[in-house]
Amino acid sequence: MKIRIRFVKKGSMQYIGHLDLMRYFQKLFRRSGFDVSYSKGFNPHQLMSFASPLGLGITTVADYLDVSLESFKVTGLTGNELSGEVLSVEEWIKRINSHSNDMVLVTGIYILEDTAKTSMSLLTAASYVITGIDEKTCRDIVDYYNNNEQIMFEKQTKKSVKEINLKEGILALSYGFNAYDEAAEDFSVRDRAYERDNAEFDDGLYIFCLSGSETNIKPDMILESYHNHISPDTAFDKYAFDIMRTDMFYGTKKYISMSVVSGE
Amino acid sequence: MSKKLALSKEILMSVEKPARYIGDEINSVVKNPEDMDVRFCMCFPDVYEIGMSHLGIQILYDMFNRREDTYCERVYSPWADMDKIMREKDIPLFSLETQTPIKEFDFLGITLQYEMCYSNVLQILDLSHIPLMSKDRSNDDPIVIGGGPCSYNPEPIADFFDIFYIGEGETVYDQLLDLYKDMRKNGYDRKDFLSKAACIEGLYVPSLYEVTYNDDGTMASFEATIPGIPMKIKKQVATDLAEYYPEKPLVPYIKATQDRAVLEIMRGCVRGCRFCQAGMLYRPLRNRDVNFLKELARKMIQSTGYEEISLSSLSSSDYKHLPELVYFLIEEFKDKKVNISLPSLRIDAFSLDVMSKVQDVRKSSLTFAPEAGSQRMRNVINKGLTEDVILKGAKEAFDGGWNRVKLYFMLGLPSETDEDIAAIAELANKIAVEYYTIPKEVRNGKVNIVVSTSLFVPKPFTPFQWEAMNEAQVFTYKKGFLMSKIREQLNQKSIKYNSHDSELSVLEGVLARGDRKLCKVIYDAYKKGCMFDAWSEFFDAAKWDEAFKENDIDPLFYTHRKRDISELLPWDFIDIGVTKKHLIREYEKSMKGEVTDNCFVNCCGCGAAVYLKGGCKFE
Ligand code: SF4
Repeated sequence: MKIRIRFVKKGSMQYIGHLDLMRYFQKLFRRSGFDVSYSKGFNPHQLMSFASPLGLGITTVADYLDVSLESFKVTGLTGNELSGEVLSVEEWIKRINSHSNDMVLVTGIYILEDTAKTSMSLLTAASYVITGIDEKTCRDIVDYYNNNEQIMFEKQTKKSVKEINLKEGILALSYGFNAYDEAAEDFSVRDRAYERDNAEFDDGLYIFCLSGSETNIKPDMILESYHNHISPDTAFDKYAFDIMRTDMFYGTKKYISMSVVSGE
Repeated sequence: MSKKLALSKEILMSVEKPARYIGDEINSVVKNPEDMDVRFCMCFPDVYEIGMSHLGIQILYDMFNRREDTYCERVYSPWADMDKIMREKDIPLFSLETQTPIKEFDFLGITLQYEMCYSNVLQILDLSHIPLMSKDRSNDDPIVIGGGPCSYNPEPIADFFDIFYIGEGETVYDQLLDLYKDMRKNGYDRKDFLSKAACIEGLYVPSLYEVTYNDDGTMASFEATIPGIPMKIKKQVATDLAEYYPEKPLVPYIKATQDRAVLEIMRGCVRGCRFCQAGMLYRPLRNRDVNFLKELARKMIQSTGYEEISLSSLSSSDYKHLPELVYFLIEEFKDKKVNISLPSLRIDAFSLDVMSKVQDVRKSSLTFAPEAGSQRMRNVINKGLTEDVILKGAKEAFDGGWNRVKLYFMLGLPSETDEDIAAIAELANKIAVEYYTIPKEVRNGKVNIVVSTSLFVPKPFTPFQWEAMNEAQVFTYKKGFLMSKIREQLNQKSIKYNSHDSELSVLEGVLARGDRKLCKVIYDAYKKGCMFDAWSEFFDAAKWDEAFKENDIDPLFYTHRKRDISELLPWDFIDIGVTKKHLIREYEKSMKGEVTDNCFVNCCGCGAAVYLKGGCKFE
């Protein structure tokens, strides 16, 4: 059985890297007795994959992890009070979270078709909110984005420098949750109630951008671009603000939240 | 919700592995510091991944936190990148749990697992803004306590510690904490507290003792400076090993050196190898109850989610219930994807059977630790492993499909000759020959033998505590000689040779058997920038050399000099149960190449039996 898990990673857990987070989930599932499938061979490992690694120093309220599951039964060592019992999705979320710290939390488990593609291959866009920047600057950045036909940004990769147009890569840039909610309405299908509960900031700079293997926009690119535009002689301070991923999407005509499983 | 971290995002994002500094590990203990009478910070003075792998700290962490009036937290050495930032920005070192400056704690307990961590002890104190010298500390500074194997010769670092706890932590810490709590309530004075602490069995307060020296640099006297405190400090031994053990060990987010649950099956060792300090310090042997261990293994795997459990002890094959325990673990964890790792097993039919069940024979290697190449040398060190046994074990293993062998030896053992060294190469070759007796069609490709040598460092409380250690050049010669001998072997292509850094071992030798005069040298070396000496990429021999020269101290006095049996040794004031008489007897027997039976075969009356009611009993 394939499932997708939506999870939160916040607080000091932003300093835990991608591979360590994977190891964290492996142990977490083992502690809670989640019946995850293993690969065959002498060194079996749990079958799981993330939609996209989250950079160090970034938090999330909706990242996704695909897991192959044997059953919804509680497995585990002899002496486990619940061993063998089948739990519901809601009960599983509770159980897993009771074995986690309070900064990595599961907030959704979705059952997928056996033929479903991985979240990683489906991913087309992601949304972020940036906090810790004053209102005036935020509004200036929004204006900078709105008033330019194209915004070219040099993306430094390991091997080369690539030019990308942020105007094409960023689908919406708004100040405050309500403005963002409105701007993204036309082209997205989101879990708005969840966003309101977990990522509603009146003073946040919201960015909805392309993500995944085709075009991968990082939310701070627009800030860096703006910074280089107004004060090209000073260094860009990339830790002066906080970035939180608010959701991840699939589809191209409309960007659909990974938490909306039907219609894939 | 999330606690406030001591370091800014900018700092955490600029260092390697920020997870070293955030705490919050699974199973870490959360308490409200305001409700506590005693705040204790446990420290392992090396990088996080090493420190988190240490079982002793986890046992004490659990033990302290069972007290309702005490909150025990942890700290490790900030890595060099973080060290630099903390100095530049003047950020005080903090605990992981509550991110509180160390200076605000009541106690700072530092575990001393190897001598090369001494400069890191000073780093910890310095970054914590605690005066490096005990004598300069005030009522507001924490009480700095040292423990662990190196505290059995605490003299080279005596000036930096307020108290040394000699022995196993499970016994008298409660007394110490109760005394502290009591005195804090009724007007606390540091000096007064320390002199009362000095009366608790097992605690050594170095500032209350005075040492004088002869003209030749040897010790003339060791005296207490105030009346009523003990002249002999008695090693502490836990007799009830079921009392404390963490059922919920801490699980780090980043991969620690020891990324698994650890099950300590027993303490102590019956073997009596003459070079081995741990073998003497932790006598007498105490087994843990097998049912206790079974239950514990289950609970630890359940509470951590670890995929591996490892048995730990000095010589696991000597554990009385080993087959019962191991077959239980195999059965219990069979379907749960939990690996079982079994270090330090003697190679025999049982261990081969077990190993073939728990690991991939093709990928794993067999380990032998003959420690010396010739039988003569093995008799000198009382390593009861014969060539026949090694070859027979290897053959059985080869028949079972293994083709990798690791061999551990020491260079520089007392009375060692070139022939003894050449015998190492020959032994490795004989093992290869043994492999090739298997018909080509049946065997599993080529044999792969790795010979590793460490350099022998004489340690306090061993029969070799009076012996001279080889100088660095001699080690270099011996390593080269062994290499050339290996190259002469018929199967030399199958044999790989690894060896240790000589200079590092020589400093270890100086610190291991040093006296109080070395405090100043360590202090100066630290001030010159020495740190992380256990890491070869940081170890700077030239700085240490300067520090010795400036203090007019010849390191060879501590390493190269053979001591007279009658000499007053810096650690003589510690009573580990094993008597000096026994050590002398063993030393003399070693020189005659005579072996001593292990405790199972025959008690040789080492003296450690005093710790057990009714003495040592092994049926
Ligand atoms: S007293 Fe005897 S049996 Fe006990 S540890 Fe010493 S030698 Fe071994």
